[in-house]
Amino acid sequence: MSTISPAHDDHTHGHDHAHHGPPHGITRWLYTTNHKDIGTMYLVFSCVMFFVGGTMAMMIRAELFKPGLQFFNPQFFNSLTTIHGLVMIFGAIMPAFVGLANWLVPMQVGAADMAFPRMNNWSFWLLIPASILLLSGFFVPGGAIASGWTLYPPLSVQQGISMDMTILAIHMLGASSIMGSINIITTILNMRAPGMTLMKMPLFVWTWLITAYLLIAVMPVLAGAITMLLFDRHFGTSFFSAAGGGDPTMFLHIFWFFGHPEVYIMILPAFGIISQILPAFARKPLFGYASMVYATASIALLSFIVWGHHMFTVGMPAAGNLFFMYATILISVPTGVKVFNWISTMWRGSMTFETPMLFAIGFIFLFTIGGFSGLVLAIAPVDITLHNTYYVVAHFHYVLVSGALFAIMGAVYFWLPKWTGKMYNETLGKWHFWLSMVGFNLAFFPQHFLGLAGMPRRIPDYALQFAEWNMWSSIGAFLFGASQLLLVYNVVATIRSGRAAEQKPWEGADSLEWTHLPTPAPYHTFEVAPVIK
Amino acid sequence: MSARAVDRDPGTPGRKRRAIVTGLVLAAIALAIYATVIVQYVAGR
Repeated sequence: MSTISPAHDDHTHGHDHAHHGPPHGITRWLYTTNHKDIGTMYLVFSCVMFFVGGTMAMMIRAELFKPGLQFFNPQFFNSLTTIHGLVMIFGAIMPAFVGLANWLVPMQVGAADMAFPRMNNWSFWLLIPASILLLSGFFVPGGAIASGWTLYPPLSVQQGISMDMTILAIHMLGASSIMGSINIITTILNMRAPGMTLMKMPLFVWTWLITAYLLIAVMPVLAGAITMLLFDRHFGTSFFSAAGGGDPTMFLHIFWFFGHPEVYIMILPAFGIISQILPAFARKPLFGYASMVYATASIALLSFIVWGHHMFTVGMPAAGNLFFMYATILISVPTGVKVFNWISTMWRGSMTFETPMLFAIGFIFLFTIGGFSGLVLAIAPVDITLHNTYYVVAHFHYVLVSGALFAIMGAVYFWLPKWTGKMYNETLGKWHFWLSMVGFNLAFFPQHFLGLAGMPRRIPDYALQFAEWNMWSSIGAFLFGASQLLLVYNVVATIRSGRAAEQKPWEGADSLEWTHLPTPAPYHTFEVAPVIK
Repeated sequence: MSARAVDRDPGTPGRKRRAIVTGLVLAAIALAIYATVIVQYVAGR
């Protein structure tokens, strides 16, 4: 990793400007252009949305606890699964990563702030009306959309006004993401400290740089698709209406051209987080830094040519199915490089197992299971059997919960001392990890069995043969959901009454925010850029 | 310090201009992709 010239060890500069601290009251948050304030708002917003989406998950699992209709009618159940997916993807996971990027990218590249601070503020505040639009669909005639988060026509063309609200909300969320991505790319390319070459950047910065390019490439594609959907609904076009000469399958192609890179948008920053946590607790440099960068770029490039594996059952020619099958399987090569490097980083390391490390190891273990079930689904003839079953639900929850979410939680524990200047309660953190681990696996591992046995997804009722595993899955989900309250309690207790953190609480941490800034990080940092040797 | 490194120092005009150009180019790419998706589909119909 890079070393820093002591002559330019300028963190005292932040103290000189302590009197330029944050303004007080609500205006601090409304008008702020400070990357740390905006990062905090993103993280709080994503936490709120995580619990909103999580509440829907609990309702879904309560309905599925036993066969028969318990609480909800099928239409409302489908609304729950649809909005749960949209809220978790666009409201929880993505804003959490953007929040982490806001906090960390400027500090890790030695910049004073993001390149476009006012646009940064605008990116965040767009999320609030968008999420209100998305959620208020439950309170309009016809109820919230029930088409699934993929918005497939013809169902999405036929639904009520909440579909228009959702389309507007997704446009706004997309605009927010694109502005955020422009900010991140511009910051990384133009505001790095002297000497901070691209290949000296921490892996979190690298993965976010690549993710931001992915976002700029595919968010407009989703926007194009749902704009056409809006025209089909209200302006007499028939882009996706077979009755008017259109092609609903075309929507699937356009949607998944966005949708599969979107999966990597939600996992690449997680790779970056894990690549920073592991060396800190193994007290060894990351194994294969350059190959990690190239593997990340390879995964991003390959993500553009695999969208068809989501639609093996729509009747593509065999050659098309084979192409998408082989291309998808190819992704396991750079992913395997990453897993190999993470394990090699730990190999013969002087490891300790604080909470961030537990989440990182949990990530490697469980994400790999999600990767393997992805390989199973990538095989076209197998997928035709498993398509739209609970096997798919199990697969993507292993990728997005024990993958993306575990990485976010690990990141929160890892950087909380830097953000707050306080140490969290380690015992509580470990309880949170182990309860999450048990609850998550109990909730989602049985869903592999349910899918293999033929249980379809997006149904509120099911045959008796699926009853037992569904009961266990619901118990696991309730345990997982309840254990997340420990995280909130731990963070709040840390901020209110945690003991003071050391300057560098993690012995092996070596990026700029640990080596070159005081703890907690001052409101303004790096007004004079450090020089990296 | 190299000329390039000096250029990156905060407050240097060249650095600010380059940041704005980078941002505008990225925004133009996003808009172009959005337009292309719709235009190619309209043209195809």
